Amino acid sequence: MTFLTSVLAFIVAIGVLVTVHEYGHYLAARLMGVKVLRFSVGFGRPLFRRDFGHDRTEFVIAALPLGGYVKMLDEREGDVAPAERERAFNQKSLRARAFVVSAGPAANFLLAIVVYAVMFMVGVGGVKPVLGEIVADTPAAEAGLERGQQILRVGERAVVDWEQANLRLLDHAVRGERVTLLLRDADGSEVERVVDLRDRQALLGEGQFLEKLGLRPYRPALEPRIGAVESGSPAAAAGLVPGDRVRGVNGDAVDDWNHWVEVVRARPEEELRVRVERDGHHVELRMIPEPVQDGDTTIGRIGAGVDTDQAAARELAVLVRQGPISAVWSGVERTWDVSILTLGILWRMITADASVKNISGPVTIAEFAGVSAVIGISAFLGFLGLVSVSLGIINLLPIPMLDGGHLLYYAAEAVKGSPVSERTQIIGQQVGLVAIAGLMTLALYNDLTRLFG
Amino acid sequence: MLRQRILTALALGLPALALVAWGPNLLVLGLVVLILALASWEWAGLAGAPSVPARLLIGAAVVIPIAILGGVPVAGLHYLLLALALLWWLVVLLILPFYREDEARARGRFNALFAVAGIVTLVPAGMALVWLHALAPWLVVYLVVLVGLADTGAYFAGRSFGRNPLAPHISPGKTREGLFGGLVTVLAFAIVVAAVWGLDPMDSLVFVLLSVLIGLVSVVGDLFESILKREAGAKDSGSLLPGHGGILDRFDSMVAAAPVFLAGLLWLALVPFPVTGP
Repeated sequence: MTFLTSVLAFIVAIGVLVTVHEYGHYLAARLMGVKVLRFSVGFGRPLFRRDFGHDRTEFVIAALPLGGYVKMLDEREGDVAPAERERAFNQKSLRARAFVVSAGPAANFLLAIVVYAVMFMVGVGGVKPVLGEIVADTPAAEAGLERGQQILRVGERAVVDWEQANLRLLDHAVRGERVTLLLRDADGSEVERVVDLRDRQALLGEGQFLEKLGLRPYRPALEPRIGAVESGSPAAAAGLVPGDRVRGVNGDAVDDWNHWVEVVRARPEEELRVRVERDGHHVELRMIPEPVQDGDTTIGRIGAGVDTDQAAARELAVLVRQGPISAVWSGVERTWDVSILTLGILWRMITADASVKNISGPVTIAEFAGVSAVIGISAFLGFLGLVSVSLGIINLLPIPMLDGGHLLYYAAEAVKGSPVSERTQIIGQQVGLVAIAGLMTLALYNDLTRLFG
Repeated sequence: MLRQRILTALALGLPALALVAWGPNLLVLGLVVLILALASWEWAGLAGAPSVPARLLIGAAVVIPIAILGGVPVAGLHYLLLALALLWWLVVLLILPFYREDEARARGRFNALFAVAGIVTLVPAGMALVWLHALAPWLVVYLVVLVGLADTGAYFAGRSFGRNPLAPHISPGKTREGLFGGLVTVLAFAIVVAAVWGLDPMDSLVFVLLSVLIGLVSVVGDLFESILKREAGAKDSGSLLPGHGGILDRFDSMVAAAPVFLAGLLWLALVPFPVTGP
């Protein structure tokens, strides 16, 4: 089920992103009067083809759905009838060519803005950034942050949920600077604290950023009432159903969800006798938590979630919903933030401050696609926006074979006044091939090692 | 040990490769049948087949379909089998991370599931090798060298930098660093071959990525055989090849790599290949 969802969500996401990117190129080419021969979603063998439009452009869906291309009339790639010469790509001015090449990535950024704007209009469910336990010997502890405080502002920007707080903090960490937080104490008074984010290497290495910063979201004491039960899980097999209130386990009373979670986690592959209250009756169930690897330790898991529709959880939940105009503005802002962040992390990878484990391949992306699709429409939109920005940025990297590589050639052409020589282009192509294939190898390697935990 | 290993590789491997490169398809079919007959004999042994006739029966279930499929023109049945092989290796990949050895189980008992798995693994592999050879002999040579290089690169990278185990429950000797070294070796090899064969840039990229994927798949095949041996309580699959263990130990990666490589080439329309020989 989750596997199928992931595959479907991945195909939808990649299909939309690639089509939009190529459509950007296509539209710009048409605007500049270039004849487009083929519009292909995917590489390799065509699976489906159809001609359309005035120029009988061939629309193709091809075998390898990890990208696509727009093939334009070009004298360097084949014979061009004299009557059509002026419609060839290579005959166009430098500016026109640069415009056509940039339009693909630009379409991805535009799509991200639209997708984020829709997401903000639909409403984003978040959790108020209230601090839980502060981890000792971390920047957060040194700054004097305390449990129960709510983050109101990071630097100059107001934040209303953990996602925003995380994004802002990450941004300052990438820049490696100290940042002032405005916090509201439990008694309602506001205080400022300065957090030192200058140790980039430690903060941006492998592992959870917030954890290394020393921040954990506050978890309210929740009643141990079951919300959702995963199908096929030990909980489902034992007959646990949503609405069950856990009363006791192995003879001990249970009154708090966190306590219940601790008991399960501590007992992989041990039988638990669980007493639950259902419709006023007590029922005893037996279940064996399945072992799951969590870092270096093995923990137990039964596959049941807490019922979050409780007063304590509701108090922390915020639904941020915006009107169309402010949503578009927020979309622009979010696209900008994510772009800067992505560039920053890329740069830190080059300088070896950030782990290259952050590069994900298709398997990981498909998994995230599936997970976000299950959570809901706004989570999936957020995912789509993120990947769209990544795609736009990666395509702008100055690597031959990518859009950014062409722009690099055009920049050279603008400086020296004549096109880059064919020899340079062929060498560039080899360099580009090595770079792209190398990146993909790294991504596939990360995917496989992640699969093995 | 290493000397014996290299000598065996030269004495048996080179003539076999020469046969693949220049021999007729029918002779290659004979070679594939011979190798897979030995491999299925070992596999039946690892699955705990109780008697010689039982082992021969399992061997026949592998070899006869290959001989028939390899002797007739490619048709729908071939494609169906290839699709099944892809599905099979996907399933194997998805269950590998969850494998834990059951210490309490009885060893040496006949495991029918493993015998069937052997047939499902070996039949498409044999068919794919003969099919690949019919498309272009050099594709088989390329695949053999690729799988060998992935293994060798992994061996040396693992010995020099190996620190983090890859799949400790299956094969404690394998490291993530080794896997990475193997993939980088494949990457370099594929880039050179794509340039030598003069593939255009787009085809080169697709070909190189397919090759890296095959490098990964070969590790999956290797790990799968490790499970088989672990369940059988054996160190090697047999002792037919001095210095190498059994036939299966040498071809475990290949049986996974061959069908996936063939399917990738066909799906991505990389064949008919522009290549006729060196």
